[in-house]
Amino acid sequence: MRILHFPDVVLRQFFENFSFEELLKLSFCSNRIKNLIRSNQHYRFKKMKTIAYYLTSESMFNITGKSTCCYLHLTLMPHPGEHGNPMKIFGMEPAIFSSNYSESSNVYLYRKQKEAVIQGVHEYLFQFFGSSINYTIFSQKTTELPPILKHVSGSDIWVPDDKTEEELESYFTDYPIQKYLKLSGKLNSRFIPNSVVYRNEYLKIDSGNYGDEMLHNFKGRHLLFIYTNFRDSTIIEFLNKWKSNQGFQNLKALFINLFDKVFDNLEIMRNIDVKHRKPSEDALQVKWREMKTISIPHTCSTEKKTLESRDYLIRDGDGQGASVEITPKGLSFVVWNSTENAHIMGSKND
Amino acid sequence: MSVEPEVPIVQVEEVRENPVLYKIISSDNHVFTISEHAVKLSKTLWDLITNLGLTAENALDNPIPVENVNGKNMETIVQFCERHKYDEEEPEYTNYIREFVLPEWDRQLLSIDNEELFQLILATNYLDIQKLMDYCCRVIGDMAKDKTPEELRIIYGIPTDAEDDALERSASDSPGPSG
Repeated sequence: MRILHFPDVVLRQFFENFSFEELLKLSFCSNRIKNLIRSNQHYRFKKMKTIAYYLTSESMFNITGKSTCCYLHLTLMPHPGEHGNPMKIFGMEPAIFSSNYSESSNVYLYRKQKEAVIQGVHEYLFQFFGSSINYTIFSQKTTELPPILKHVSGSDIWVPDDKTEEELESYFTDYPIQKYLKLSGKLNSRFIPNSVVYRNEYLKIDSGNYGDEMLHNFKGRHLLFIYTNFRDSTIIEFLNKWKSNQGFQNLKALFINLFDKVFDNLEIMRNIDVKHRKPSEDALQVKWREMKTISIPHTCSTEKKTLESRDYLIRDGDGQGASVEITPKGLSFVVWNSTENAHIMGSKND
Repeated sequence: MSVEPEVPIVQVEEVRENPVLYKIISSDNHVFTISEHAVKLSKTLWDLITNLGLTAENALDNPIPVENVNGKNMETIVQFCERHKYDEEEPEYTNYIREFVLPEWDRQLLSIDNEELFQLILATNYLDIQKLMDYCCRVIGDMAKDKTPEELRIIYGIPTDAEDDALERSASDSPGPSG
């Protein structure tokens, strides 16, 4: 069989019998077939919307792709043996399991350092799927930070307990600028005050501890805390600083979902210069966009959200408004946006 | 093209059901008869029949020469078309992946060596028989199951990068038309 001698129209139908995983495996045969697959099946590759790299343990990576029509799934595992004849695919070889193991064609075993392997695989996938899709990296309760990958637009990273402040700063300094960064783990006092982490535009923290310090140091636009505790005094200080135009000028939204503490929301409200809509008036509806990572399938997405509140602040100096909602379990704070919340702007600056 | 009279005419059982028959001559002068319903599976042949104005009355007197397809492949093609001539039209496949189960009869028909299958695919492409093309592509696609890239390279006759480079070098070293 000399498939390279088939006319393009036949090759197109031939390739349509292959899943993404099988096409990738076929593309490993040579540069010529790789380029042929890329050009002949371009219309399929451009349907891919997201690629996620998931470090599930110190040594195993799951790669999940989601297109408008189907999924891509690859697993990279360390090679169990000392010897063998690995293909020159980033030092990997396909795993051959028993014939009734349906996923066998999607599993690759690697021998080289996993960082080099995953970077090689990522570069390879990037050649097929291009820069327009959403690349996300995930890690979960591992003792290592995931490899740094270029072109990644979102990360959901477990910060290992034993990493020092210096190690974390060095890692995140090398990390490419991303649209979204979520950090989990014990994060209290783990970063230097002017850490690059705090300059992320969209930072989500899942700490299980206190987040006061991180709120103080944040320089970006969107900050979300889940399962993270705060002192009431920190919230009062934050809202007063914003209101008096003494800090957090870039901030567009702050959300706090407390872990095991509760706010004294009435006490906080008494200590800030908050305005209230009357019960006879409609509550203010503020729209914003939440970015989040999803587990099944692993991906990063954006969702439209609405905050409905009767309480708001007007900033001194520029008159910028922000809706605020404080409950015993958390805080929502959204700065009014001139495009999405034009219905509020101007009319409430009394 | 001249037709050798001693070449046997291939009769297919099902053709008796249909009064309209056409004659096709392969590149190696084998003559085949095929029913109207069956020949319609080939867009190329049916367009030719329509353009030539062949009818039930004159079809058998006007054999259609097909110079790009040999007798062996034509026999397989006629068998396939007769077998599937009454099949319901398949829905358009979606999602850019052809999902269907290859029937056992067709798997048997297409259990031929790689080179024969390669030639059959080229013939099927020329005659524009979509269903047979789907089935052939499925057969060669199935060859990839649980194979390593090295095995795929052998099965599909894909040269290595080094072989491609050597071929490119020898092509650039050889004198051109004016040299």
